[in-house]
Amino acid sequence: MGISRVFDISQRSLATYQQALDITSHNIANASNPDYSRQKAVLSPEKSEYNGSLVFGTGVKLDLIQWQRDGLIDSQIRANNQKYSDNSKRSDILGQVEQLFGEPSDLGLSNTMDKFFNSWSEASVNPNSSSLRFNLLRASQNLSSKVNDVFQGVTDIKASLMSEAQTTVSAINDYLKEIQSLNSQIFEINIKNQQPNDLVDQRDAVIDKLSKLVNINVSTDSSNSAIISIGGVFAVDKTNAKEFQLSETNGKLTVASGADGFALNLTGGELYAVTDLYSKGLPSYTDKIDSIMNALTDAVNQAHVKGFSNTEPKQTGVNFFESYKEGVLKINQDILLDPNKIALSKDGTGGNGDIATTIADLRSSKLLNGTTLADAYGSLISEIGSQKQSSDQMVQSNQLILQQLDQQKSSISGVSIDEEMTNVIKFQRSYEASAKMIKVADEMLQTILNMV
Amino acid sequence: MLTNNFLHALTQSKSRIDKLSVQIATQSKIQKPSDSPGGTIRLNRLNSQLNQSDSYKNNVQNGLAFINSSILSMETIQSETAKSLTKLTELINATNGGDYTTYADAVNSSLTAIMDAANTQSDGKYIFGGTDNSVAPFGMTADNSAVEVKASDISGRQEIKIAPNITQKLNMTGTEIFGTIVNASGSLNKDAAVGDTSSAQTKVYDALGIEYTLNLNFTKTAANTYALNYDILDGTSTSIYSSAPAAKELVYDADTKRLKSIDGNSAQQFNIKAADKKIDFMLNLNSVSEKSGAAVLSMSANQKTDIFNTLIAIKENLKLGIQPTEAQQNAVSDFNKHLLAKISEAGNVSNQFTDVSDQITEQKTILQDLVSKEQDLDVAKAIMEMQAEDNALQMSYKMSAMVLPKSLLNYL
Repeated sequence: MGISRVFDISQRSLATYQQALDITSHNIANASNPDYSRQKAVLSPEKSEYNGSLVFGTGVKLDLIQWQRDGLIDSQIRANNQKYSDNSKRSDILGQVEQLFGEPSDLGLSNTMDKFFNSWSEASVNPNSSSLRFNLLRASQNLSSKVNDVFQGVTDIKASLMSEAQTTVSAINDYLKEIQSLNSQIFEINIKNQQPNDLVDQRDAVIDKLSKLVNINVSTDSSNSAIISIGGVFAVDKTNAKEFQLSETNGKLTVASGADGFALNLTGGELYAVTDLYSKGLPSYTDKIDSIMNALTDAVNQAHVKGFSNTEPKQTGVNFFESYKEGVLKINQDILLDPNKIALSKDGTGGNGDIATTIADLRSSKLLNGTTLADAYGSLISEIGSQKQSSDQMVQSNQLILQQLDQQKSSISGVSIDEEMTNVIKFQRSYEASAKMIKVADEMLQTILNMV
Repeated sequence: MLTNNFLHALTQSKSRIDKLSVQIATQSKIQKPSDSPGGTIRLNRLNSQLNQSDSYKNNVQNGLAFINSSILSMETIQSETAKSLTKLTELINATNGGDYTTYADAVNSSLTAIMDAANTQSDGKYIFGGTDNSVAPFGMTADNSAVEVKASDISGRQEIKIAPNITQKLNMTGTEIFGTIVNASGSLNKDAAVGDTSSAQTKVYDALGIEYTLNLNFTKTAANTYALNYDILDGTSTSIYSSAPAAKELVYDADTKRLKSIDGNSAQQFNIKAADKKIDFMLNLNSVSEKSGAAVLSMSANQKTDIFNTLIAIKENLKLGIQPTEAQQNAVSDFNKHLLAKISEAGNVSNQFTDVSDQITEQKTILQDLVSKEQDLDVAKAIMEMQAEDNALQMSYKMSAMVLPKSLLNYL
């Protein structure tokens, strides 16, 4: 045992603390990277030397670069990501839908329908009046136009949802390829018994992004490769990445594996919101509008067909509306050209407005499953409003949970500048002390040399 | 961690300020259904009621204008009728016997004024034309001997909706004012055998005041079902006009307690017109019902003949130097009374319209108040809330400026 041993121990110490400072500086450099997980230098004593009954320490070594991550929090974040993205996307889409209806305002369908019935009521007072007949036609055209606007708006939203779903599926396929590539790299590093911490961070960041799009289930194998299934269908591991395709059948969107055709059972994420609203939500709204407008068209025509026009000769048996189909409410072309052909009279005399009164009374008739048209429309608006409100509330709630989970994740994986700077000082001082030991050893050696 | 908390707080604060500023700008709490789904429905319902009220108010205003025009015309007619009545009273006084031509001119002048008033229009509609507005309802016959109804039907009722469950008859029909309405009343025997006939008869008059007999026969054809025939006989009991074998197939409706035609349309009133004999009156079956026991039927007329032809007959007689009869004077007097009753009836309708108009105005005020409560923003409260939110936002900014950049680095 000689003075040179002090040199050895101190030299190792210098190297070890330099490595610890490297890790700390890597942490500081990534302090603002949200995907980065803090790494920690774990130091341990070097293997001891035995000399007779005495055991001599041989200094310090960097035992492990510890990766600070909690898998449970990660999975909770992903689960909440799916809910948050689903609700957030729903809220966005429903926000667009409720704007289409323009309620509550003078421009809404409710007010347009009121004006339609009012125009019949007013025409009943003076059925001969051309201006009231024109007024009635204008109100009918406004109703037709408003229904068409709403329907066209819903169709436009559906088209944009289809496009968005295609983009999302394409993004999912890209993410899966990226995850597969990272899985493969992680595996290769792992088999060399090295720690692929930064690659795992990168891969997990991609998995987090994926969890915002679809409901996923993530597990890891012994080589720390992520095995992911989407909606119950295998998606990716270290060797394979499936490619998914979007298809539309009977107005319903489905996403299925391109190779084997297994359809995804979507329950969360943006894609779920998009496909669900495309396939069920929006069609249910348009179905309800269809029911309301069909009931209105039938009831108005049933009354109108019994009436007499104000023309010579009198005409009867004429429908007021030609047809209603998918948002297109067509007013009888002959009536549009000559408002005198509106059949307001019940007995053929020009001053009789009984048919107009009958049609005006349809406003309060229970034409649709025991409800009035206004009530049926009101419940549709309420349904859309409630769904949007519920999505908004869920977004806020999911946001709070995600925030808390992020905080928990940050407390484990996040970089604290304060802590890292403390480590810098600690490791710097240790480095200085080790250097000082070399100086001390040098002085000791100098003392001995001076004796010669 | 700290950054995220601040960002979240700042976003929330800004979002609340944004919402409040939109509410203040629009003065409305509800911008879209999701702001308050229940509130939106209530608001739509209230707005719908307001719209409906506006529509009813328009109807009432139009109705009021029409009924007031009707009253004005009826007052003109009544005034002319009263003048004629005065002249008739003078004529019956023997001292005025030599001046019949002047009286004939005066009667003719009243007749013209009454005709003008009877053909008055309001808002493009003939006031007494029923629901047929194609031609003036009254005019002279081709031989200028009598006044006849020119419109196809002057008995049409114009009804308007003035409240969700109230429909009001708007017009005084020409038949009601000037025509003869023969009212049948009583009951038919519910238990009578098929083939049994129940009859009733009354006197009717043509435009020249000649008397005829109207026979009505209800023949049972099935349970609750009757075939109605009628026959008009002259002074020698010779039939001058009769219906087809089954003029009307009628069914007794136990719910409405009225007879109705087989096709379901009401058969309360229909026109019997023998143009060549200048006979034109309405037969009203509104008060005929059905019950067990012997049939009891009777008939009565609101007036024997119309005012126009009574005045024409008086005028023509005066020209010939013939003094008006007491029956003619009574006919004019009856019409005058009848008209006063109708003016009173129209006045009631006018009052009802005015009352309904006031009610609608009051109802609108209540509805507007409810809409306001549902929709309108408490601006003072919203401004205070926005101020508080703004203060919180400023504090957050200040705190983030103070705290976020700090770390151990600042102290080394």
